[in-house]
Amino acid sequence: MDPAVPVTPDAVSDALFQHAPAGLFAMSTDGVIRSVNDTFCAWAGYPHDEIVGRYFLALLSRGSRLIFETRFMPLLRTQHALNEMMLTLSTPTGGTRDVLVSSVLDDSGAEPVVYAAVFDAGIRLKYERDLLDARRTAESAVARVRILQEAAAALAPATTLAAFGSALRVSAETATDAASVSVLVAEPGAGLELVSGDRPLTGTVDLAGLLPVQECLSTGEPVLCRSPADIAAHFPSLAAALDAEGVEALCIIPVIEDGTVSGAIACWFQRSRALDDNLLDLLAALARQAAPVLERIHLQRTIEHQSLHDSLTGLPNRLSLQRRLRQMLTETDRGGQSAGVLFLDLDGFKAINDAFGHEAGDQVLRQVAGRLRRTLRAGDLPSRFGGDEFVIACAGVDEDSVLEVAGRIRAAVREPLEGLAQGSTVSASIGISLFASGAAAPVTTDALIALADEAMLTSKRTGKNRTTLVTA
Amino acid sequence: MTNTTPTGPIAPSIGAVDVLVRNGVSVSGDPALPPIIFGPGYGTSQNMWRLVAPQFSDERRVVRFDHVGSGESDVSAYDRRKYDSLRGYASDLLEIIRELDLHDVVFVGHSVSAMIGALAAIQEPQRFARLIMLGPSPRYLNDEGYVGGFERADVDALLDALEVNHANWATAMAPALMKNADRPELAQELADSMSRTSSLVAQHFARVTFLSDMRRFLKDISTPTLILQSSDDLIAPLEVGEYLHEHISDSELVVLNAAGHYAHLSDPAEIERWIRQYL
Repeated sequence: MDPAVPVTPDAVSDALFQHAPAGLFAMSTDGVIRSVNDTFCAWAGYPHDEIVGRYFLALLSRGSRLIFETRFMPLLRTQHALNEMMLTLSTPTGGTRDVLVSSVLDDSGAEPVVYAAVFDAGIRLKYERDLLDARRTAESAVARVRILQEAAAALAPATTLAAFGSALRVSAETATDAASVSVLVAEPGAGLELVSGDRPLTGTVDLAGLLPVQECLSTGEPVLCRSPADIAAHFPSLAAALDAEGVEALCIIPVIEDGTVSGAIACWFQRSRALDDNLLDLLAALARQAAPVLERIHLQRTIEHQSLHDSLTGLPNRLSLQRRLRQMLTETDRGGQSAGVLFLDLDGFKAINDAFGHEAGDQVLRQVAGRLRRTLRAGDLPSRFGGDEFVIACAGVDEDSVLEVAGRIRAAVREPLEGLAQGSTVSASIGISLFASGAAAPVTTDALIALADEAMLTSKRTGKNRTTLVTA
Repeated sequence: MTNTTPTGPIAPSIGAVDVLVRNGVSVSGDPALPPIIFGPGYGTSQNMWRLVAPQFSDERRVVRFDHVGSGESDVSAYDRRKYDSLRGYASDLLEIIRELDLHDVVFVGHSVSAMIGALAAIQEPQRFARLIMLGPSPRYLNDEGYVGGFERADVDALLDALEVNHANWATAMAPALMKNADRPELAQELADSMSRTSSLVAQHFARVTFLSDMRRFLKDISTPTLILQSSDDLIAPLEVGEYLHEHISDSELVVLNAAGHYAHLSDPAEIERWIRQYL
């Protein structure tokens, strides 16, 4: 130390203040430095008279100014004391010095004063920052594992698209904090379906017009827009509408199953977002977990479809027919509308089979199935009953309307055939059993079918290509 | 076992949300008088308005509140998805206004509350008579042709500081919590968890505040707006005040004599005077 050894107590106190191995200063509550010691002046890099009267804030790096104004001062004003706040001084030569600042607010006098002690903490803060980085990495890994585990647990029991969508949506919401998340599934052979969550632009465009999602589905690549400007550049036609709904950033992640894009996770943000690699990796991992679950649900649906449909014609099978009839009878019993069962047997089918072979016969059955679908009303259920027999369940019919349906069917069946049996024709013998609401005796589905079958045989016996109706 | 452990901050909320409890709303003054609402800035509470707000209670119904996650609010209502943008905060403000059935609202917002008030006034302009913005900024980060005052790295430094310092706050808070506790170790645990929660909320709110860009919305503000700008506010530099004045059609810009970002504390009389003059 170069100063001479002080001799008086006052001089010792003064030397202690000036040369203590800590920066010391006092400032007003609006942050203007009133008094400062030499140690602090040396650390800050300014002479004494350039520091007094200056804002302490002005000596800080820009990041530390934010901390000082939004954290340091508010806390000091509420708690009156602060310990070891990490701040960075910005020196006039362009360098920086990391410091820890402890501070008390003394409002016992006329004018409140803030006293602060500043400790040089370069090495310690570097260590703290390393610790912080390590902790952040560890925490983000833990959060990632937790989200993926929760997703796995929620997806495992899902047997419906709704349950699948809901599990995936919740996980994506947790991962992203997105204001809304939509889960979309591209049905094989059908369109795109929103299975969970809200989506923007519900009032203005249909799912096919939701271009970011469509782009993701067609390319199989994530679609990212980090800001309103990004959205305007990539999807100019939707930018104004998305903006009006508060969507400022978006990311769409594909769900890829066996090389085919089978769905997407769409996250819609209400502020610009950085969408960093960590987040995108996590969403991609969620999509990878989701893919096999979606495949399983599709498979289950295929199996269920197969168990209820005829593989040759694609029409519902006997099991479906039974279900529909039971449902119709329950409704009729409750005083609903009358139910009709049409039993149809082709005339001339065996001759075509014998003349042109089984493949030709199969083609005829498929054509008849197509004509039935075309001819029937929306609520009617056509089914293949076996061989060349078809049964149609019609709800809400009376004698006239069911005969009208039968007439249309017979006309359609009579049209010339195509394919191997091109130019030939078949016709239909139809029997109808009609179960009117308010009928006295309860009736079973089997009994209704048997009655219609008998009526069909009557049509056959009395010359074919005709309709016979009985009332149950 | 006697259990006098303080209630944890994370209590499940049941049934309808009481917005007045959620936002720690305090109301004074005659309900028949026209309303004035004071909104706190980032990192602060309604307490910051203590030197200004009470001055109006003779002629106005004075409403103060805290943003969820700060001050007297119910931190368990903090929903990261809702508060991932300033819109979540704006919708809370509108809920408070509807709950108290306020009309012709004069909204005085400090710092980030100024933009929250602007979003609310854009959404339901018929509720608002005046917006008064103290130290506002529509965007804190510099951009091409725009001086916001900060770079992304500065915001990252703030986020780091929030995280590093949370351990210190836990230590500071624990003794206060321990006073009434039979089992001090639980108080320490609780202090840790509270400080962890408050640190996470503070970091998220910092991201949402300091990375937001509200510039696009300024043209939609139809409410007459007074911009009170300190001459040397390092959080919201003078250029920012001028930018706001230029882009809000019906606005006035006043450069205050008061210094710094907390003019309502450093010179409450001047703030009071300007508010009065604008009403």
